Amino acid sequence: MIDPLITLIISLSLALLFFMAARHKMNASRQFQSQLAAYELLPEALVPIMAKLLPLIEMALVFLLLIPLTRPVAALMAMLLLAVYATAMGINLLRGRSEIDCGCGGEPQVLSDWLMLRNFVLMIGSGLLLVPVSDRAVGAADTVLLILMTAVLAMAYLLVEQLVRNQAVLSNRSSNNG
Amino acid sequence: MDSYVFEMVIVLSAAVLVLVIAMFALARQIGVLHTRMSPAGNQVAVAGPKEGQPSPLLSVPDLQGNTVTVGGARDIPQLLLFVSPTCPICKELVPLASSMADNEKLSLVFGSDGGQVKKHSDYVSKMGIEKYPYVVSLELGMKFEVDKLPYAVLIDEQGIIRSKGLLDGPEHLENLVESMGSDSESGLGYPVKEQLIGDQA
Repeated sequence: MIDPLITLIISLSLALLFFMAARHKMNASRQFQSQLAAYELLPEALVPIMAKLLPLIEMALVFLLLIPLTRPVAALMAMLLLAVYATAMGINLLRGRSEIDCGCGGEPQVLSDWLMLRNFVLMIGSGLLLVPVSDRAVGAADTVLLILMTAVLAMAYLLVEQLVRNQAVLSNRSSNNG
Repeated sequence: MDSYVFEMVIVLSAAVLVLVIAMFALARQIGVLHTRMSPAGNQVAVAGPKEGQPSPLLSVPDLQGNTVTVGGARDIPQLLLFVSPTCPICKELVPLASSMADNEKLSLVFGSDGGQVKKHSDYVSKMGIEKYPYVVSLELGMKFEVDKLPYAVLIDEQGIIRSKGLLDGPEHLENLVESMGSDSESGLGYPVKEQLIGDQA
């Protein structure tokens, strides 16, 4: 049993995350298509279809996560999607093709173990949504905390992203000089 | 919840939020510093054949020994991408360029100069670009007066240079190729990125 506030914070944060991810993929759909193709996992004919489909799935997750009734289904779907992304990255890391763009949206980002770790942490978060919630009335005070905590998580996420990006730039440079 | 405890939790959450934002700002500034130190920057390409002028016509052998013709009339537009195994941004652009070449029906030619052929052929297999001609030729780079990498030149079916320039990111390459479709006179010329990342914050 966990407090309903925790479930609310996680689902709102994940919804926010998927919303941003989907928005990036929809706005730069052509770029995303080439990023997806660069993963070299899908047959060429499937790439344009998946490039359209993935952002739609992510957008659907945003709503499913926010509706209490569909939340467990959404949590499972989110875990699956994050696992698929992590596997796709892992395969390309094993192939030694770390230089392809992650396609995570925003500024270009090369693949790294950190991104896979990030996905695993997010998967654990989604998993927590499946834990039964204790019965407690959620009041106005909880709303204040919900907003604050979600903001903290969102900023922490951006912080980690930035640090991973910095690290990629640094390791790229040292490998080129040395 | 006890109102005292609740108030303290709110205050602390707000404090943590401020701290996380501050740390994010710091990380971003560090990122900007790294970017400023990186080899490529925004520079306007002025040297070499101009946009709207016919491209120099030349035939050069690629790594596999096949002859590649640059310039002149052809069926589909030609994209020359000058890269080097040691250039960090090139690694991001090469996969994008090859998938764009497939999508947009461009004839993609990689150009590079000097150094050991072994290094270049290793690079070709590492990046998985065996199916595109990869030309190691000083002449090619000098004809277009390429001084910094990664550098792209887009030549249309009539052999006219539509756009060219030093690339500073994947979007830039996309702009360059997209400008081909539109009828803008000189392509996009040189879209200058508004400042560096951090200044948007």
